Amino acid sequence: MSNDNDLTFLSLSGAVDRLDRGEVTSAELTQNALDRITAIDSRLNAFITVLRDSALETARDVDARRRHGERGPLLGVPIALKDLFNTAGIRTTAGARILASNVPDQDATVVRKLRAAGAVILGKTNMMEFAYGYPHPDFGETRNPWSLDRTAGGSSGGSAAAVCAGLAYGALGSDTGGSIRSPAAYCGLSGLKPTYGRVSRHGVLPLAWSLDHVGPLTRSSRDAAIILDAIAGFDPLDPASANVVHVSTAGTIDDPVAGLRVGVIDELFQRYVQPDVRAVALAAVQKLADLGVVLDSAAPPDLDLVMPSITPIVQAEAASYHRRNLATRPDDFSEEVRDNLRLGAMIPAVDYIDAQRLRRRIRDGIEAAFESYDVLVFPTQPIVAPPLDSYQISGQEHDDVLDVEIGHTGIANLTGHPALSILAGFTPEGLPVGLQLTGRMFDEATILRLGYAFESATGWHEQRPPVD
Amino acid sequence: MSNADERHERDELAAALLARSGIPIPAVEIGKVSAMYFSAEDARNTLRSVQQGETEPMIVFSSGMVHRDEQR
Repeated sequence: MSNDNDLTFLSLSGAVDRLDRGEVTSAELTQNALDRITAIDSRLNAFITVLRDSALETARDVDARRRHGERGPLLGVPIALKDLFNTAGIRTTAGARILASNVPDQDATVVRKLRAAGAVILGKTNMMEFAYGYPHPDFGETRNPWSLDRTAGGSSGGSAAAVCAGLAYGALGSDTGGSIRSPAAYCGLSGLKPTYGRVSRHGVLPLAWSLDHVGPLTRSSRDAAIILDAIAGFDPLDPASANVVHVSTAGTIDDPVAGLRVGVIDELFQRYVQPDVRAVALAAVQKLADLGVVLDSAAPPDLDLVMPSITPIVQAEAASYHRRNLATRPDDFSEEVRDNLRLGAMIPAVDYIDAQRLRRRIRDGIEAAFESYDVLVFPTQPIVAPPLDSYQISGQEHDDVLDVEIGHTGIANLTGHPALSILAGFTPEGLPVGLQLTGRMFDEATILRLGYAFESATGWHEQRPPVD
Repeated sequence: MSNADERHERDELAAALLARSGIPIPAVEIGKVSAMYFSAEDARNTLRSVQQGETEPMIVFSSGMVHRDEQR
């Protein structure tokens, strides 16, 4: 069994450098990742489907392409995909019993792009059922590599755990209320929710059409930029795709950050925030100041209204999508997802419209903040990774873990602004804390380079979980 | 009205709302969904009170049409 830590925790760009210099082959990287999955994943439950044979076949093909002179930023890099992304001929379950035997006949657009770039698809990662915030018992929860009695978060928990534990060099996730950024924060990763419409959702099973985003989870902001550059761009197959030119973000990743105006949303350092999380996040903000950014307090209005706005929207849109199965096979859903879908089916249309109108107000407030600031910052999540079995509906307002989480991450889903969670540091217990950098519409480049600068200055992202 | 009567009335309302959406629900499960629905009443009241007097129209900003207006 190969378990070469020297290869395992290479950055994505570092892996490509070694591949280009001929120091390692994609087949070796892939075999190492597969061996590591065999050795460790039983403890994490990060993967639903592991594509051993096809991954190695792809790796050998890519090695041949490289020998013929081909080069590329993802060529030969083993990547994992949340099991929400259609993969032709490969089971795509969405973490749901209802789709346990679903085999799409076409790749999602982003999958097609990754394959064209020469990425090696290692497998499909575990996730909360239909990305809705609660795991189905058939698939179970994904454990956090930093603490196996805690969740990796979700709904892209499998992707997060896989990258965190060195089972993949990067992964794709989806984000409707924080489902990339929340597990990124809990697992100490860089997780990017791009601008709404920046990345195609064609072939990605929806949760809520007006809130869904696709993006990368990686061990560094530079790696996130590399994956974003590969998957971004207008797609006529996605009706919400933005016809906006994507300029390389990896190309400007080490541009200077001194002088950036950073708005610190003080409110989100207070409400529900655990003391250790606050301390780590504030220290990270001070580190940003040490990098030469100009800090100021920001106070966009109506952020306490995020939950009354986002809840009816996600619930009603999800209920619309799942209406038929909810009516005909309700028992095949997990109890929590079924109950939330039923709630969505009960929402009056005027409440949904009011929620969309309130959404515009929240968005206008964030957009106005960008007249004064280049980046807005606050803790990605107000808490550290919760214990397993925390995602239960309590029935009590604000006691629900999801409510606490989405109150932070849901802002950028409502507004569509790009948002990057970076590893801010660790609590005294050794648990990761995320800091969210929110940027102007279509300005992923600025938040990624600020994240890269922070990571370069602190090195937090090079810490390894005690999972071996 | 007794608590039991109030719960029954809420359960009937919840079942009726689901039936209007074509979603059947076993009688044994309606109590839990009803409790969840009505526990969110404060949030719904907050939402409605915020929108009272507001005249801004709804714009689903996420449509491709709006994005094309925001091209950078």
